[in-house]
Amino acid sequence: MSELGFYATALALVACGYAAAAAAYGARTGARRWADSGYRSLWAAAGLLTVAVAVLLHALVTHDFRVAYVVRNSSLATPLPYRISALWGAQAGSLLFWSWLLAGVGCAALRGQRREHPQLAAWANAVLATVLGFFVFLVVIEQPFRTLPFAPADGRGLMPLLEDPGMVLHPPLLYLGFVGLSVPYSFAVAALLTGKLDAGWITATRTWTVVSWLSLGAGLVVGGWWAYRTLGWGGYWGWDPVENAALVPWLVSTAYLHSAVVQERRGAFAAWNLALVVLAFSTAMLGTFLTRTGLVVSVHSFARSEIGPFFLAFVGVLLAASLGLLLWRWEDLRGSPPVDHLLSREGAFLFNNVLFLGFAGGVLLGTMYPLGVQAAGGGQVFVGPPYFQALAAPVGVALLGLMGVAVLLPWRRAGPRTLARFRFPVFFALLVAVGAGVSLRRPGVVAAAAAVAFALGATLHAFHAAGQAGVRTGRGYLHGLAEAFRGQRRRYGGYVVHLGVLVMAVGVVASHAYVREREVLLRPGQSFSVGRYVFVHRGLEQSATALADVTRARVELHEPGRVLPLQPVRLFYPRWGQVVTRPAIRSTLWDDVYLVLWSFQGDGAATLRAWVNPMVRWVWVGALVCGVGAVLTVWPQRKRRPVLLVDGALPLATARTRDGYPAKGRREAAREVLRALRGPREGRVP
Amino acid sequence: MNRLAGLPLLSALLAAVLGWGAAWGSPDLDERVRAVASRLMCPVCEGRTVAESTSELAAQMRAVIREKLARGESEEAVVAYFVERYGQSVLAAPPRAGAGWLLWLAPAVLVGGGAGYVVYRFGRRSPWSWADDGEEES
Repeated sequence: MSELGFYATALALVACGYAAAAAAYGARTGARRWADSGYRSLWAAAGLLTVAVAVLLHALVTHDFRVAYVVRNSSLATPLPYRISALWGAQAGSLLFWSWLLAGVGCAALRGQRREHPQLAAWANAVLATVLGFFVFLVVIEQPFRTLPFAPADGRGLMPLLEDPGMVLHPPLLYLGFVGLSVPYSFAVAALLTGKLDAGWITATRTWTVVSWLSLGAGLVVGGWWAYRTLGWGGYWGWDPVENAALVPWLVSTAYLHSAVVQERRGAFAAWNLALVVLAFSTAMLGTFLTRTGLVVSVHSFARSEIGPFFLAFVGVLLAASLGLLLWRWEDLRGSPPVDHLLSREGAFLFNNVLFLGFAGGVLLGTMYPLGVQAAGGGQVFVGPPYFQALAAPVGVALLGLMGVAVLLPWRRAGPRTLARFRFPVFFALLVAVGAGVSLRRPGVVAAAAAVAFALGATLHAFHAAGQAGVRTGRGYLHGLAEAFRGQRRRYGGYVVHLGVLVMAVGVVASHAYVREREVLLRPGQSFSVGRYVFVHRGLEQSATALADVTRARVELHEPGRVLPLQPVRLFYPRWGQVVTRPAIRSTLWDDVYLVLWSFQGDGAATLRAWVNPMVRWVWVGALVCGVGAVLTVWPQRKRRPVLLVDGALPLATARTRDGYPAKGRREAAREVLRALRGPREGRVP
Repeated sequence: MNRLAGLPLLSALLAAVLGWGAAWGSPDLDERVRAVASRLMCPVCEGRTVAESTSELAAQMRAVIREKLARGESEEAVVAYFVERYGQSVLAAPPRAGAGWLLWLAPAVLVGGGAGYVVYRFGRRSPWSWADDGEEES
C-alpha cells in the first residue's frame, strides 16, 4: 500500500516538471495546445498527490505500523482526530500535506483565470508547477512512506503537547496562508514575463491574496490561543522565531493588500506591488525554511531536518530570479501614474507600507540577528521580547493612528470638506487621551488609547456617512448601511476588519501593560491573593490515564461575591519524558484568571502560579471580527456594469453609486473610456 | 452631526476611562519582578525568558530577583548580577552598545528612511489648494 504512495509522489514530481516546461513553452509561443497540456499535468500532479495523501492518511487511521511515519507519530491510543492531524504533525507528512494544498490551490486559482487572462495564467502555471515541483522533490527526499523491516506492535504516539484542538487547526491554516501567497506571486512573475503590468494580475489573484492573508492571520491567532491554553506561561505571543517567521509574511502581505487597492483604483504603484508580492512570498519561504530546519532556537523544535541547504538555495534562486525580472522590466514600470499629493488616501497608503515593511524588517532582523552574530564568530545571543516589544509598540500605535487618517482622507487630495471630518475623531481622541492620562499614567498606554479612539471615531464616521446617505435618499439609516455593504463590500468589509483590529489592540495593550502575576508554595488550606482575587489551595488529586500521570490541584477562587473551583492539571508522560501543564482559566471580557500547577510535593503542598490578564478575551473576539470582515471583502458580489455617459469626446461622469457619490472621478472615467476604446480584454470573444 | 448630542456620551466615556484606570495602581514588586524576568533568558530551556519559562532554574531565578528587588537593588543591578553569573547570553535582547546598536536602531532607520523617502519623492508634487476636494469611493 505504501509503495503506491511513493510511486504517486514520484510521478507527481515528473508531472510537475512536465507541467512547468509545457506551460512555459505554450505561454511563450502562444500555442494553446501546450498551455492546455500544462494545465492538465498540474491537475494530474494534484490528483497524484491526493492519492499519496490518502495513502498516508489510510496508514495513520488504520494503524499501519509498517510505515515508519505512522510509528513515530501515532499509537493505538491516539484518538482519530489526532491520527488525522498527525498527517501534518511532523516533517515528512507536513511537506506532503503542504504540496497537496499547493497543488489544490494552484489548480483552483488557474481554473478561474484561464479564459480571462490566458497568457498570464499559462506563465503562472509554469511558476506554480516549478514551486510545487520543488516541494514534491523535498517530499521524495523525506520519504514519508518509508517502511520498517518489521511492524512494531504499537507506535510512539503524537507528542502530547500537540494533542489539542488548536494544534489540529494551527498548522493547516498557516500552510494554507503560505501556499496561498504563491498564487499572487506566480501571477506577478507572469505579469513581469509578459509585460502586462496593469492591474490585471492583481484583480486575477485578489481573492487568493485575501484568503491567504486571512488564513495566515487565523493561523497566528489559533497558534496564540493554543499556546495560551497549553503552554502555561500566561501569555499568547512570545516573539518566538517561528512565530516571527509567520508574522513577517503576514505583515508584508498586509502592506500589499493596501497598496494593491491603489493600483487597482489609480494605476499607481505598479512596480512597488510586484516587489511587495515577491517579498511576501520570499519571506513566507524563508519562514518555512526557519521552521523546518531548526536553525534558530525555538519552542517549535519538533519540526527539524536536514533539508536546509535545499531550502536556502531555493529561496535564493526565487529572490534572485524575481528581482532580476523586476530590473529587466524597470523601464516599463517607471511610467505608472504618480501620487498627486501626500495628504490623500494614496499618501496614507504609502506611509502604511513604510510602517508595515519597517515592522516586518525589524522583526526579520531581530529573528536573524543571532544567526548573524554566530556566523561572525560571536557567542550565543538572544533577541527576545524586550526588543520586539520596543519595536511593536511605537509602530503599532502609529499604524492605529494612520488607520484613522487613511479612512478619513479622500483619494487624490484632501480639501476643506474632508479635513472637516477630522473634527469628531480628533476631539474624541483628545478626550480619551486626557482621561487616560489622568488615570492610567503610562505614556505608552495613553498614546495607544488615543490612537484607538481616533481610529474608532474615523471608522464609525465612515459607517455614519453611509447611514446618512441612506437618510438622504429617504430610505433610512439602516438601509444606507446595508447598501454600503451591498455596493462597496470590499471597502466596508475592510472597515469591519479595522474595527476588529481595534478590539484586538485594546486586548493586546491591556493584557501586556497590566498583567499581574505571583507564584507561591502553598500547603492545603493556605491561600494567597493577586489583585482582588484570593486563591485557596484545597489539596491535590492524583490519577493516571493510559499514557500520563495526572496531578490535579483543587483550588478555590474567591472573587468579590462568589467562589469558583479552579483545577489546574499537571500531566507527566513517561513515554516522552514530557510534562504538560493545563492551566485553569476563568475568562471574562474584563479579565482572565489564569492558574498553573507549577510543581507539587508528596504532602499535598503545591507551587501555584497565578496570572490576572486583563482583557485577553478581546484579542480572540477582535480576531473573529477581523475574520468576518475579511470574508465580507471577498464574498462574491454581483457585477455592476459601469455606465459611461460620453458627450462628444469627453466623458462626463460614470454612473452614480447608490449612496449618491459619483462612482469615479473624471480622470478615472476618461481612463475607463480609453480602456474600452482600446479593445476587448484579451482572450474574450467580443 | 449635532455636536451637543454627543457630549453626554463622551462624558460617560470619560468617566468609564477614569474608573478603568483607577483599578490599577503604580508598579509593585510583582510587576518589577516580571519586568526584570522578561529581560533575562532562561539558561536551560530553548528560547524562553525567565518570566515565561516553566523550568526549576527559572523559578529559582525569579525568587532571587524578588529577593534582590525587595532588598532595594535597582533593576539594572539585578540584570547585571545575572550577566556576571551566566554571561551575555542570559540577556533576552542584546545590550544597547556596540554591535547591538545596529539591531536597536535598524527599525527606526527603516521606518524613518522610508518615510523620508516618501516625503522627498511625493511631498512637493503640486501646491495644495482649498478648492480641490478629492474623490470619494466608488
